[in-house]
Amino acid sequence: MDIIVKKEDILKNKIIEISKKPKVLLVFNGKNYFAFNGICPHAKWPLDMGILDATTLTCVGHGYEFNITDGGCLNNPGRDLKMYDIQNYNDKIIIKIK
Amino acid sequence: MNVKFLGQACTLIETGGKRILCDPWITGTCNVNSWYHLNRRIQTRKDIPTDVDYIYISHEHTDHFHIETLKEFDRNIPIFICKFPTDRFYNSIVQEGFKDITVLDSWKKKSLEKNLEITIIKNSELMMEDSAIIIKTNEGTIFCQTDCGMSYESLLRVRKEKPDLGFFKFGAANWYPIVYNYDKEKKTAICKKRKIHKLTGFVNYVKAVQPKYAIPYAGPPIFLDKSLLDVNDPNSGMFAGPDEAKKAWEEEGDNNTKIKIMAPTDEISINGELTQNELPVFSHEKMDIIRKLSDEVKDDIKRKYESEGVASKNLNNNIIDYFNKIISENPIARRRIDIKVQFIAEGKNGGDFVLDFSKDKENGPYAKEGTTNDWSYLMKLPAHLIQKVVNNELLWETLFLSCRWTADRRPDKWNEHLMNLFYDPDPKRIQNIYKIYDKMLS
Repeated sequence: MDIIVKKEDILKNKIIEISKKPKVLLVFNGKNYFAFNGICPHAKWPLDMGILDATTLTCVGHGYEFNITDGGCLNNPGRDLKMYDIQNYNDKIIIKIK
Repeated sequence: MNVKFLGQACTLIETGGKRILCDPWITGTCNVNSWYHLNRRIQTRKDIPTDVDYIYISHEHTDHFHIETLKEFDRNIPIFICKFPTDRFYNSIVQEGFKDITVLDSWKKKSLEKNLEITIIKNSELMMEDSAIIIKTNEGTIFCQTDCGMSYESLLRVRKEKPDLGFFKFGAANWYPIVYNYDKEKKTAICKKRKIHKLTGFVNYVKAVQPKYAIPYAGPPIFLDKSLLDVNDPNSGMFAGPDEAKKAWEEEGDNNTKIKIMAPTDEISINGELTQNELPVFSHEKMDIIRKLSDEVKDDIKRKYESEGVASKNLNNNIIDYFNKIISENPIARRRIDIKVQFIAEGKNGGDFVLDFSKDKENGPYAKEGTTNDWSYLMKLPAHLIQKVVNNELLWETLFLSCRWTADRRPDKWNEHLMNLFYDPDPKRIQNIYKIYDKMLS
């Protein structure tokens, strides 16, 4: 499944939900786009409620921290977020959801 | 309908002439003579309300399942617990002589009396067992989270029950970073971050459930051994006070819920009317009170430590046999742990050991005496307490929570697979967990 998002709809440093099932979130940091699983792999809290500080996303349920550039869990390595491939075009991006 | 708060996660709920006691730790210490209640006075056996109709125990951590307190109760009192993946907790209660234990499936409603119903909710964390409870009567509904790590979905389900009162955890209850070999600056920074995470968690739990009144509870403990006093420091430690939870709510919460602060023996009605019975919760003056309490109990702590005994002359063999067994029985865990541990039993009859969890090491022995420079975890624990664990008299988790040990990590990363094996090395449990773990992260 492909999800197409217009670049004009993407705000910098905001967490955007681009798919509900599976829950997929998108972040644009001003330079790159990152798409990742939107449910915390620790205790299933929605990560769009999370706190984004640069490239670190902190789950508000129990404080799990993730690097959104590669999905790596910072305080419990292995409990990582699944990342989705992104194709970047002039006016849109396409997120490949397998 | 009335709730009396008795410290830590202990609540006494009175409704329609019936009394339900949740997570009774009321007197004494827990976690190997280490934790005390956040209270201005040391409670005694006289503080234990033994005339109750039902007891609910959320999980096996000793600040919830406290044997010294439970000894005061009639062995025929009905006890309710959650259905967990293993029977370890159930068996521990049976071992204490209780005869009427009911194990409830998560979210299955159970009627105890006309107009009195309980629902126990299992935690959503994979590698440990915990639960919360909803108590519903014709007078109102109460939610006690205890320490239970819950999913957002579960909390929204609790909200549908429209709780009048909600008791929510707001603090850390863990040995990280207390026991680790960090410099003071780093430790303080980690503590500060953990404290903020827990307060944020409290705010979001309350927002999700939306009770009329929320009470921060289930900690923090206080440590009164002189060697651990710094852990309590509100400026450098990770344990927040209930007043900080209230402040966090005032800054980030909403108008759906009002926060009430309770000290042990305070009572709250289902309508949110608070009766402060004794001494208020302490915050800014915390260290003064703690130093005073520490002086008060120092002889008692000394006596308690002396009564813990010493390790046997066979401890070294016991340790080697123990780890060879649990590592060889759990190859699925070993391959994920994939590190070497320098394990030090400190004190009389102790010694140094290397525990080899390397993923490529398919054959034992996995444990041997000696040292290695190749360790990723270093754990230094009191030999006599290790003896109790290898004798099945104490859980690793309880010993770790005591904070009476030290540790180091290279690299400085949490290895949840190692701690999961320590939590409960039952091979069936471990296999089941990794079936779910792999599916969850695929």
